[in-house]
Amino acid sequence: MAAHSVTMVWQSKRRVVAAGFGLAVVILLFAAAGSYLSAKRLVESHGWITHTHQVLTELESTLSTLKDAETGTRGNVITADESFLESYTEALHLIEQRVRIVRSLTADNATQRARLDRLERLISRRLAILDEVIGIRRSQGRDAASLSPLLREGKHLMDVIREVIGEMEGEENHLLAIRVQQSQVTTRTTAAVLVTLVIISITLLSTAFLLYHREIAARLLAEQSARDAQLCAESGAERLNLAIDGANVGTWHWNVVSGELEWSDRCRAVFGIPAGEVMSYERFIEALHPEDRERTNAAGRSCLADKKDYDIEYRSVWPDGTTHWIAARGRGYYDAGGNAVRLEGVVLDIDDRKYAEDEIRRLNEELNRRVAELTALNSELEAFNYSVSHDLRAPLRAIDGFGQALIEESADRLDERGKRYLERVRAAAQRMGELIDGLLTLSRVTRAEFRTEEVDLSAMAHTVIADLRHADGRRDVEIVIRNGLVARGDGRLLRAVLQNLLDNAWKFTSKRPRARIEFGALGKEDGKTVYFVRDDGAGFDMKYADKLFGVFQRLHSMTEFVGTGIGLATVRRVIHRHGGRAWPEGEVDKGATIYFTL
Amino acid sequence: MNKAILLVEDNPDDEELTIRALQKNNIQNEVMIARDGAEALEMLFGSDSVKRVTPVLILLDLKLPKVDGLEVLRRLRADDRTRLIPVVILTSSTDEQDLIRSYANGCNSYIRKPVDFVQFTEAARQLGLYWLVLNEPPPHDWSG
Repeated sequence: MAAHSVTMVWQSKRRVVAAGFGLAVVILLFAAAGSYLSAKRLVESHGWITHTHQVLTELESTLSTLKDAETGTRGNVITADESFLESYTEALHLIEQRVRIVRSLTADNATQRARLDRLERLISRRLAILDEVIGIRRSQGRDAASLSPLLREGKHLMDVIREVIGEMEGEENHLLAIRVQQSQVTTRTTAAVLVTLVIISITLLSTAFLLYHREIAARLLAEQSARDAQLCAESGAERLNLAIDGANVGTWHWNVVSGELEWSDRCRAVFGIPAGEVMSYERFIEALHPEDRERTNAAGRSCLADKKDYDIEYRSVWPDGTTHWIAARGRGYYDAGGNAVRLEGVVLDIDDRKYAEDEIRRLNEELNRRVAELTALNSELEAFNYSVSHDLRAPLRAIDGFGQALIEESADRLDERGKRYLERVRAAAQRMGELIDGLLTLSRVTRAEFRTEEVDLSAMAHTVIADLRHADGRRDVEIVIRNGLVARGDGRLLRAVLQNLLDNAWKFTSKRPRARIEFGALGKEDGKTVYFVRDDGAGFDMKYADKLFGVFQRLHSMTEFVGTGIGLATVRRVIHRHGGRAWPEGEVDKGATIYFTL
Repeated sequence: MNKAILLVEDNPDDEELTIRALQKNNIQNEVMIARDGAEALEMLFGSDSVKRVTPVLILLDLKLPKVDGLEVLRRLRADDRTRLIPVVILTSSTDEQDLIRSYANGCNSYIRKPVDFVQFTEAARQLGLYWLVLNEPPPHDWSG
């Protein structure tokens, strides 16, 4: 729309400029014609002036020649010398010539012609008188000639001739004045007209030039912006091509009407088709995996029918027999009637993505399988735990119970050794009961639901110690608990931690007459507070430190200290569930410190 | 007046040890035995061949063949004839879920059988003393 109106403005401007130039040319032609005519008129008027001067000269010469004839005649009359008659004879001839010239010069002027006729008659008469006088002189002598009345008539004729010539000269001068004036007027008018025309021409040409200049400038600007636009479009196209090349995207163009299918080389490469091969829709469908052909065909049709974007993933079977995944996107273009004209689009090799997707799917399946396995294992473990807590304990109770029954019922039939053995049977059964309980606790710590809350560790430690003192009040133990140690974690699980650690501290200091147990906190490790439980009891050898937290791992014999070897394993498991870590420090007979973070 | 105790226990060892522990504490009440949950329910609700009994105390194990202890408890508490009978869970487990479910279904007490028979005997003594002597049972004719 805008481009159209711009074109119209251009055309109207061009017409104005052309009209200006045309008008200027016409005016200049007029000016040239005017100049020509004016010059011609000037030349003509100069011609007339010359002509007039010629007439005047000829008239003067005629008069002069006539005088010469008169003079010659007079000389002859006085002297009778025939030589005077030569000038007379010559004059006769010259006058005739001159009159003829004047006649031809004044042929256009009737008045002058009439005067010339009269002049000619007067001259003829004058010349006739002279001839008569010459005749009288010759025949009658000098006196007769000089006294002849002819002389008086001759003098009168000369006066008349002078008068007529004067009239003719006057006429010619009058004509000359008129012609010169006319010529001057014409010249002035012509000059004025010429100047005006030239001014108009200059104005027109200047205007046209200005318009033209402006148009040229505008056109240059338009050309510049067109060039810029083209450059921009070219660089845009370059960028697009770069993007297309960089993205390894193949482009295709399907003329729905002619059925022509154009593929970029990259597009062919995606389908494993040689660069030169001529493409057709049929060839394209043929390049697809047989299972994907119908689906792809339908997608193309529905894209054009529903005017929706074309978006599909299909497999291509390359000439070498390998199968490749391709993603295709396209858009239909339609004529004014809404009929599909062409389909433009891109294709992208998505093998890597598909393989990655397959890999992810495979890994997910694997993960799901593992989760299912774990769930099954967990429920098995659950069942196992339940079974352990119910079924494994029952026989132990029987062993212990009937052992005790035997001691009670058959004491008289057992010797001391027999009774001691029975006691050991019972002790073993009870110990196994403890081990089972320990294992159950450990398993419960692992499986228990994790609840995060604020836990006052200091208060918890006080409670645990109070229980220990209550169970064994005879011990002399100095307890140092740093107050205000509050952590975020699962209260029940952290209680198990402090219970185990303080139990151990209490247990391993049991052989000291006076012991010291401390619960506190040091600085921070990775932003986490480092807590510790320290005792000055039996301690342990650092070379066994890594065994300390293992299940059923014990560094002391049962005769030294009783225990299941599960307590620290439970502690570590709880600490791990809190995202922290636990580590020991100790020396034999100097005591032990268990550090932990949460 | 029947002051029988119903012991629901599938393990003969535990059965004998429990009876022994009760006897050692001079608890003279008759002890009826049901060896699985189904048998216990038959005794408590009666059947064509079995006359209904109303014990003063039920000692109920949880892990039982056929019908488990929790189900027995649920049925007892759902029936007007049995819903007020004191039930003490006597089991090996201290599984948290077992505890919660037992109390939720209306047990009156939950005791874990210790491995140590001396401790077990002590538990039986306290149990008998409490439920059979100290505790006032619900009125006899409550079942209507």
